[in-house]
Amino acid sequence: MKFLPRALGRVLVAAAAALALTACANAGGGAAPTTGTVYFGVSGPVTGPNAEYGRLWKQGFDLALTKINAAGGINGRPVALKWEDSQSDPKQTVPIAQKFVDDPEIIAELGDFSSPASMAASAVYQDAGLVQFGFTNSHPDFTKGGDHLWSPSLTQETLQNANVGFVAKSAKKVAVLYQQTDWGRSAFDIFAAGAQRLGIEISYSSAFLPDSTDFRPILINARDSKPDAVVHLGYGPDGALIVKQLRDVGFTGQFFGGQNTPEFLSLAGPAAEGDIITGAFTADDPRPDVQEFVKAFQAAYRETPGDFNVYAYDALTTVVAAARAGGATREGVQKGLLETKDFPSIQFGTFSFNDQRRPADPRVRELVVTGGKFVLKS
Amino acid sequence: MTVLSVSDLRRTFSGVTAVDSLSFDVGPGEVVSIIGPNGSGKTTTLNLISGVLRADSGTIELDGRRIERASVEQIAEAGLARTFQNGRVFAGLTVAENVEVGLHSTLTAARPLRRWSGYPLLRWIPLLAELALALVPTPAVRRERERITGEIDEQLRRFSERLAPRRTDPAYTLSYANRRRTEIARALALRPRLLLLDEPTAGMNQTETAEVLGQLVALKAAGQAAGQAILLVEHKLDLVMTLSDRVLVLDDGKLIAQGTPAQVRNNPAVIEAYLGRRREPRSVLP
Amino acid sequence: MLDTLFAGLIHGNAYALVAVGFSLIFGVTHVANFAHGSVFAIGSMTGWWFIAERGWPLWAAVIGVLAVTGVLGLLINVLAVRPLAKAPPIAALLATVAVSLILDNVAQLVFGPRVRPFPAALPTNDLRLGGLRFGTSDVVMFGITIVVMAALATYLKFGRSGRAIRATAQDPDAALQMGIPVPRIQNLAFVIASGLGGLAGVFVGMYTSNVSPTSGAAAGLTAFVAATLGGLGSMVGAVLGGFLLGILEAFGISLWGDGVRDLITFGVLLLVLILRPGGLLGKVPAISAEPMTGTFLSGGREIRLRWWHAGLAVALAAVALPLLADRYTLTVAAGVAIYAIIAASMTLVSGSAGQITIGQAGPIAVGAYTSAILTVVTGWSFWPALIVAGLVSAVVSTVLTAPVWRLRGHYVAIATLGIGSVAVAVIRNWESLTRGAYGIRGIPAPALFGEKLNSAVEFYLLTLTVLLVTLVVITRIRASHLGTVLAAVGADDVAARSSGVRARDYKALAFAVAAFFAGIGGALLAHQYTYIDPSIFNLTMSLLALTIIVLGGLSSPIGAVLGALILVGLPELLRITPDVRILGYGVLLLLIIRFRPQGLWVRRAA
Repeated sequence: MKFLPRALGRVLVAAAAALALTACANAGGGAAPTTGTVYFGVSGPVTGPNAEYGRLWKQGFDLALTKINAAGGINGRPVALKWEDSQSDPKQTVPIAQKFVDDPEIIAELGDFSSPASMAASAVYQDAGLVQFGFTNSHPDFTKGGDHLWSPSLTQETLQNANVGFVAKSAKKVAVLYQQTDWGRSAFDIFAAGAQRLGIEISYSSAFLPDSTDFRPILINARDSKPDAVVHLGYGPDGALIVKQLRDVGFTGQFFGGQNTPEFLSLAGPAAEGDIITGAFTADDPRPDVQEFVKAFQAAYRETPGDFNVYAYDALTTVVAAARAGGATREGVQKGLLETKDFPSIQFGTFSFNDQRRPADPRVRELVVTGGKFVLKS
Repeated sequence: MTVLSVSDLRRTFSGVTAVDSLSFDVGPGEVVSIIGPNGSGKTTTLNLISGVLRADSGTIELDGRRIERASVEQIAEAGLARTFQNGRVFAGLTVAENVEVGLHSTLTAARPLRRWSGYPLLRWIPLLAELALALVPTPAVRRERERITGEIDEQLRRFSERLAPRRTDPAYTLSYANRRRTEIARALALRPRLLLLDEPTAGMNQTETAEVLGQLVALKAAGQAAGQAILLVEHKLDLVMTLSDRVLVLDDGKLIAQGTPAQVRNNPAVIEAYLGRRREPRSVLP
Repeated sequence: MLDTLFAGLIHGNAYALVAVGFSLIFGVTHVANFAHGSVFAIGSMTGWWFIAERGWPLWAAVIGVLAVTGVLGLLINVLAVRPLAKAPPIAALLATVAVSLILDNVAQLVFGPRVRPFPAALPTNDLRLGGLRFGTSDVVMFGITIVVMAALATYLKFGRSGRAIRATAQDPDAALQMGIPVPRIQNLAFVIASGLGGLAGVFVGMYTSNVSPTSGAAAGLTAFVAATLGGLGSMVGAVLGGFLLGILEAFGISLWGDGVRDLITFGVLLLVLILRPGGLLGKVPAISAEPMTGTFLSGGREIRLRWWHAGLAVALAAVALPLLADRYTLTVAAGVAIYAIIAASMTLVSGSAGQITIGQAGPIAVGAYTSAILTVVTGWSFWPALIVAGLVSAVVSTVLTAPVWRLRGHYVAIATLGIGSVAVAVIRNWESLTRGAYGIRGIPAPALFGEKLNSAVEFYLLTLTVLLVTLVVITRIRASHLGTVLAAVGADDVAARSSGVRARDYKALAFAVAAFFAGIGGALLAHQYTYIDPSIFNLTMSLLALTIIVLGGLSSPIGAVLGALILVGLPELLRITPDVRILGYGVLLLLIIRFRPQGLWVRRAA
């Protein structure tokens, strides 16, 4: 095939030309426009193993957008989102970050889903002065990378300290199972420290891999250590399996764990009844703004909203509030986040950021599965 | 001293005895052929000697050194080269590169500290040295590279009109006969004490066979001065009879006759093995 | 203790049922069908759909699933395996890897990625033994496993067509000449085995109760380990292997926690391959059969790059691109360069030494973590950390693969898969050194003479420079006598050894060089991401590296660069959506193996 090198030579030249053209087209930079739609970038998993969370985000975002734009957007300008599918993969979040940074229309970024994916891209956002709003990133080190990295996500510190407090009410001895990820590991370390403080004995503990499906060996050990309760620190799918298999190995005591998502409830089925978790949001919270949100959500999607819908809804509401206060520019969003107190929030009523750019003293509550739904424990 | 000494060699495969109590010698400069009906154990014998298969019992000595427990590479380094029944060349390499591989065990500048190659862990020292020299060749290595080129030329000259013009052609472009020649050239590059040839003319027509016969005769003459011996498995009996100093006949894994070609030709046991018993024993071999 | 044993047995039953199908295909066609796990997952999802969404009774759903997966098996054989019958066995293995990528992603697109609850069509917890509740469905699963195993084993050993099947596996050409309808028999084997995979999907789905389209990869790998443990090709072996693996896992997890589950699974695989590659009941042949027509692979010579072509490309890459392209493109280009470094060094192993490695994520991870720990924890500067990262990766990989080189062909590939997974599992569990699942954050940008190289242009030029150095090193090796020897080992290792070449040593050397550069690539990744954790270094990364060199040409470093451009650069630049992207890798891999197996940058031989 002697013509191949020649053909390839031509391809190379064509590629160079194409590259040059895209380069000129994308010659980004420049200030944000002052009229027209205001854009926020979303880096999140639309496809791939975490796609379910991306779907829940979208529901929350879209509902928020409707409300925001109905109220006139940001100082009269409509608000819209530019989505990029990262699959929560650090290999993709970094180029996406670069892309957002180079797009002058984008004044802040929301996402990514998992902490590793977000943290890989943090340097790009921080160096460019674009706010990275990692609203589901609970990794303790996430905001330490720079002052443009914000997370309204409940830290493991908050969650697990509250969790261990709730556990202490009914158990003096617990077995703990935690996901072997940054999320699960940090949760366990804080829970264990809290347990020691409150005098709770951890009779057995084991890490587990997020894609494991048979937990019986560790559940048997958990059961045999004769705990008052079993605590699960992980996500919905593994939580559902653990609670079901826990009953199959004959443990009848209290279960703490799972996740406030429709997925967990449908997968766990009746075995989840009586499960207690720590959270900020519950659909039966009597507060009027929560009920208004729940009704709007049910009208739009015919589903009861869960945690990840609320995280997204609150996140967009917060950055838009910041932009309204500080101006619809990158510097304005940062300024708004720094200076505004008492952001409106479905989860907390109102909240403020502390100097670590995390929520200051957020209120968390005890939720229990009753009749197949998470409700406030009375 | 004999070049090769095989004593009481035995190998079975799942109950089938392929080689049974085989003993024979090959002296310096000799050409010895092994013949026998299909399935008599000829190729298995070659595989046992060259180390591709391990014998169940018995001894094999090459120049007085015991090799029946040695690996294929060690046996090659000790001076045994072979060709294969179906002609194994390195498809993507050129003819010259194929022959260059045969020179591998003769290299010293590019392959320092080789005496440590046999030891676990220590073998990495010569390996890494070889890697380093490949990246940054010393003058000694450069000189050796020139010598390699000369050696390759010499080997290819044996088949001058055939292989020399194809020197830089990849082996997969060669005709079947040229592939076999390349394989022989590669084997000879090793400057072996003993050359094993497994059906060197398999699949060739009469003209090609005659050519190979001529080359083997020349090889025999050239090798005799150096004491190089050849052990040959062949089916073409006229070639065997012309070329060999001695012939060994195997049947069912056992040695049933050995001697000069003339002696073996008229041996009734040999005739029976090939053709079965006749009421009137007749020589059917030319 | 008894409860744990019983739990292990029940879980092992799930492994056994999937392993039987896998072993059947291997026994009949000598192909390790990596798509078997995907068929299993499709069986689960289809079963879920029939029962939960369409309301069918169990028996009807089973028939439906058997039909769907049976047809799927037939298609796999006809489209991907059979056409490669004359090619080296590694080609069929790669083809099935490609098919698994395609099937997994099609399943995700069709069913959505959500995890679904598999309905308990048979009771799943109505029975008790000791402290453990289990169900009628588990008993039925056990019954099916035994019946299937006995039926297939008897049929293969004593049945007339069964013996024909075994003859087919041993020597298809001879069998064909004896009048055995080889294609039909292989089709039959695939249909039966895939149907079994689908059936396993239904019953394991009931046992697990959570099903998702992404469960196929894990199921396929454990089935493969179980089948290898029992002896590939043996029906009884597959079942025994499944139960044994289940028990080993249960006790291992009971002792050390579930965090080491994959370490146990792949550790068992490696032990089997090292100590007894034939498994419990299998046999490894004494010598591999001599190829009938000499040793011809499909690879020819590389397309020669004229010096001015190369000069133009370098000028484009080093001068034009930084001047003209935007930061986004340069970030992507740095990623391309990193993967090109990793892939180009892999061509020494694959093309030159003739081995496919499916576990390069291991050395990459080791390099990334070494550099991260040295710069973050010990405060070293970038350049020494980079070199040490390569060296540590080379040493660790060499030690781990040392026992593997005496295995034949595709067993080595499988072993590298195991080693890659084990390396990452060790990193994840060795928390005191690596911070385990927490990951390492704050990895500093590289610095040159005190200047930080953290802009997109600077980082890109750094990776480009390392790539050029890599290419020079690889090219020099290939042009030397050592390179000739490596190529010979790859072309025909028996002939090479007969020429006095210590093939095992050279394979190990090639792998060490590849691991060195993989480590450097990993270190560069770590400094680009500034945060790494073990989950980044997964099977997808290994498969991407492999697909790059298959696309470019197994023996061509230039091809590796081209492959990286196409598989890493183009999808990013064209913003092809990521889910279809992996589907695209699978389709591309399959097309290349079928129609241009030597890759883009290599001419076809003969």
